[in-house]
Amino acid sequence: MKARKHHRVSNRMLLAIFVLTGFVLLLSPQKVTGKVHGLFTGVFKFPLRVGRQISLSARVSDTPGQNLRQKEIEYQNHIANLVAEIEEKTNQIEQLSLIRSREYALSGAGLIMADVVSSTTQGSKNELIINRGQRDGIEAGQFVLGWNSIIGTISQVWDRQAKIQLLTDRDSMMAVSFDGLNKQTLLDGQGNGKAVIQWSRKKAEVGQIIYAQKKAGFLDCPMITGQVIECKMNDQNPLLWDLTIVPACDIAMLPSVTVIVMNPTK
Amino acid sequence: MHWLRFAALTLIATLMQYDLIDTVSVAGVSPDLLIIILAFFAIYANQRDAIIASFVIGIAHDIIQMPIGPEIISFTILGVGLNYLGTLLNLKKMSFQAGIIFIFGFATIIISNILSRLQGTVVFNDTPRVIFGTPFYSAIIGPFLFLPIAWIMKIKIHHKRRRR
Repeated sequence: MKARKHHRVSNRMLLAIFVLTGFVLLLSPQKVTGKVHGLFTGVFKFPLRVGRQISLSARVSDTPGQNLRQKEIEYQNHIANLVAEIEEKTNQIEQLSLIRSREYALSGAGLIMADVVSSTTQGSKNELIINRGQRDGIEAGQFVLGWNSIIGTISQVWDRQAKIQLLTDRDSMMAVSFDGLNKQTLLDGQGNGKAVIQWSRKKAEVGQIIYAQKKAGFLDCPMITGQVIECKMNDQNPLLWDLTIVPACDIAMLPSVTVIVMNPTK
Repeated sequence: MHWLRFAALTLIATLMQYDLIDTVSVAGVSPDLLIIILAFFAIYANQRDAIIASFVIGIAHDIIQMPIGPEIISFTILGVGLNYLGTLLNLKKMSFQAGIIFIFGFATIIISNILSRLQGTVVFNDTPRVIFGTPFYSAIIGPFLFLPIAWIMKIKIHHKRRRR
């Protein structure tokens, strides 16, 4: 009988193979590697959801004060949205536009409620995974609401799930305004639940509201997205200001969100 | 090495790390269960098993913290380094283990953040609180978690004292 030959890979070779695999994966396009993340959240949807519910229930105490605080923020956000809407309408009237416009904000939009499967709000990546996807009419670029405020946009869509890139994500760039709705500026996500507006010519007050700008096909009226928590002079140019922004709601506490689908087909 | 037990342990730790770990956060800092598990296998497994375990735990860590790649590289290299260190030093004392977990966790965060730059999508952005806090928290609870991990993996970590 012939003795069976064992081709055992040496430890050094194994280490080299694994490190090389790491580099190959690192340099692969994120579109490809991102599917692995989607697969993970898809396969383990149930335990992740249970874990999130436990995590949420541990954070939220059902005291009346807590609920009142949430309601208060929701109403404040709603009022801020109405203020923006009124200003937008005033602009339209001033322009004496004859273009037919909608009666009120989001009147032509479909609102899709989605449960948050998992959330990452610390570090560079600030994102949520929701249990709605292509089958429900979700598309990349759509705006997402939480407590009546814009919290981010859909960045990746799978069949039954979607990923929301929060406005605080390091790769997020959102057109916003804070000094009159016509003056657009960019809100740059910084991770760890914060975003900044850099090199602003206008100084902002702490607590000042930041509005997500309307975007054709995705949002038909500016909506509140955050508020200023710090305004400091730019290090390089003392004439400019750097504003630090936090979202208008506590994103980590959101059990569900609403996706804005403009002009839904169904 | 009981690989099936290892797979189950890694999976459970990954799922807990993904969302549940925030429930035990203190001042916004949570421990890293995967770093603790990796330190365990790097200390108590043989070199070959440590290499494979480091690679698998690196993949698990990358899946929950995109992009994929940086943690695979840093975990594999540091896991093997720690395993080699275990042959030179006695890492069975809890205080040593805590120190090793802290250094290991800190080094992992730094290396993976630097490697993330290669991909160009993530920039070094962890706050000092996270950079120092996560390894510190992991180092405090890590040696205590070694006991249940050893029980699950059927690895003996206690050494009876010799009678004089």
